Amino acid sequence: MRIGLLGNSHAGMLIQAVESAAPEGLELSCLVQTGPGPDRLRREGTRLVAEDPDLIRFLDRAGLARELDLAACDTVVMVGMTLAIRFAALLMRPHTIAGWPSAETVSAQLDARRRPADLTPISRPAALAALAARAEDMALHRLIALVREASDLPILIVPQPHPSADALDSTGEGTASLQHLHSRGDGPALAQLLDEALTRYAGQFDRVHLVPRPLDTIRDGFLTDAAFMRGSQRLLGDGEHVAHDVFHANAEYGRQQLSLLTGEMTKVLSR
Amino acid sequence: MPYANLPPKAFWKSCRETADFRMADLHDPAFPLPAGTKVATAGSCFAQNVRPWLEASELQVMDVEPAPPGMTPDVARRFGYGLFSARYGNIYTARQLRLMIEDCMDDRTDANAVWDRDGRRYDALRPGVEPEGLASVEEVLFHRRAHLRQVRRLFRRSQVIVFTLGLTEAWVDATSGHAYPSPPGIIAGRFDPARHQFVNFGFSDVKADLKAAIDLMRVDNPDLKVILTVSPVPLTATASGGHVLSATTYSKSVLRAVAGEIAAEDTGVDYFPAYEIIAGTPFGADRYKSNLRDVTASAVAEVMKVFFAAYGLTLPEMSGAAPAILPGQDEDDAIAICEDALLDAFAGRG
Repeated sequence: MRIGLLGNSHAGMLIQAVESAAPEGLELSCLVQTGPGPDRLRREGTRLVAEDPDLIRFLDRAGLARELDLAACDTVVMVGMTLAIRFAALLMRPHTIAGWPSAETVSAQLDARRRPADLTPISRPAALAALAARAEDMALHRLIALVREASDLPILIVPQPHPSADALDSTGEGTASLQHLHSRGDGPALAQLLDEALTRYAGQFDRVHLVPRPLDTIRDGFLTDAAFMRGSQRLLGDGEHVAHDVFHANAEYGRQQLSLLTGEMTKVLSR
Repeated sequence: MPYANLPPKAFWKSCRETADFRMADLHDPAFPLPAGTKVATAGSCFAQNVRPWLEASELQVMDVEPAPPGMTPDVARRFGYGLFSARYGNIYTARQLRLMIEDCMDDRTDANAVWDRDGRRYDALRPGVEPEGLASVEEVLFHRRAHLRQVRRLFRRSQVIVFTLGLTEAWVDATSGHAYPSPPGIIAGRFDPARHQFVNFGFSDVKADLKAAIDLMRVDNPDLKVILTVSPVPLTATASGGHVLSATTYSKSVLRAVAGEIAAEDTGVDYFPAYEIIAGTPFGADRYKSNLRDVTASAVAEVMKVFFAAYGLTLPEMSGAAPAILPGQDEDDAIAICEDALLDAFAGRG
């Protein structure tokens, strides 16, 4: 089975998992790029061809082909390149949703004092609409459209891993909102909101499926156990991410994710 | 002799002789509006057009319920963010304004002001801000209570509120007294003729409501100043039994007269003649779009040009585009979020 893999830096864990323990008969054809992903592609028939000079340079350095022929693939897997918990946390930092733990705090504040509560309620539909609009402005959205121009192959979306539980002790960029949501007790609710947004997003397309995150890797309801993040490798295979990186998963996470992915692929392809 | 020493702006002929009808002389502010003044906006949907201009100016436009970080402008507008200084939606009538401020002061919510549609619940007093509704009555009241706290804070912290009077017609709940921005049954809820009554407020009603609202806002903020405007947008429909043109004339006349009288009586209230700049006889229909209801971007720009000049503020550069227009949107599609526009759907059914 040949997978056409499109992804950003988070595809690294999956590629490394395949390289280290590929299920028999599984082959990857990768068109990947760090950052938002391989966004600027040109379609020539069933082939997706890199046209962005940065992407071409990146692929050349990685020793990867500059194009992906969908006709040679059994399925397309897209990794990352869409909504992640970091954006959801940023969105929700000043807000709460009825039913979340912090909403109880807000209610209590409204009872106890005359001034506004520390957080403002936002409706679930508004939060989901914000996430949906964000998703439609990301590389994954454009790549799904591009693939669909050429092929009706099933597309499986592998979501970006949640950040490491180490993020709770980090001063790095993008971790403050996560820490804030955690301190409010809203982490699991935030992850549910994100999952609902991703599920709705994938559900709007035919033959597009969302692969779940490996449950055993999740900590505090919205983070990844640090054991599955430490020692993560860069996409090009030229070493590990910096020691304090809390956003990229390692090959062990990749192996667990690969297991879920192949299971989902089997289901999808047997339909 | 009377009239002998009056300036040119006092004479129709003198104004008519200039290309812009002496717009520079149209407004003599009742109080200064220095750069940095904290300004809040509220009112009918026309006021949505004014806000982006104020935001781009040297004034400090208040927003106590801003859109979440990262929410796109179109989603924000759909959910009532950024239209006004809080998410109260359109406040068409002085009665609505008064009741909202009373609710703020009394920290009062009412489960009877929650409407249902398809199992979802809507805040009847601002049904447009949650187009998909909420899950339960309790959630609506939770949102409303938090909202009212923010509104009270808004009026406490603002130095000036720009309020645009929109309508005299409203539907009220005979039991509770609630005045709705949209009739029950349009966005949500069910119309009950025994309970929901049509009211066309007269001069004394509007004046009493507006004065009461201003007095209540000044309980927390005695120095609060108010700039009143009247929306030049005609009624979409009238439930008065009369012709929509007569109903529009009545409504706008009452609002204009009340605004003028309150401004004359209260040194902390100014009337800014946006209505005249758009609907005034010298300008014919040029300042409206083809439906003769929605105001053109250039007309809004003209209003704001006069406004900033009158108050001695720098006219912000808005690229000549209608501020309510989002990127990629045509001007004809760029209309403010207005519940009353939904009444258009009933045209021709009678």
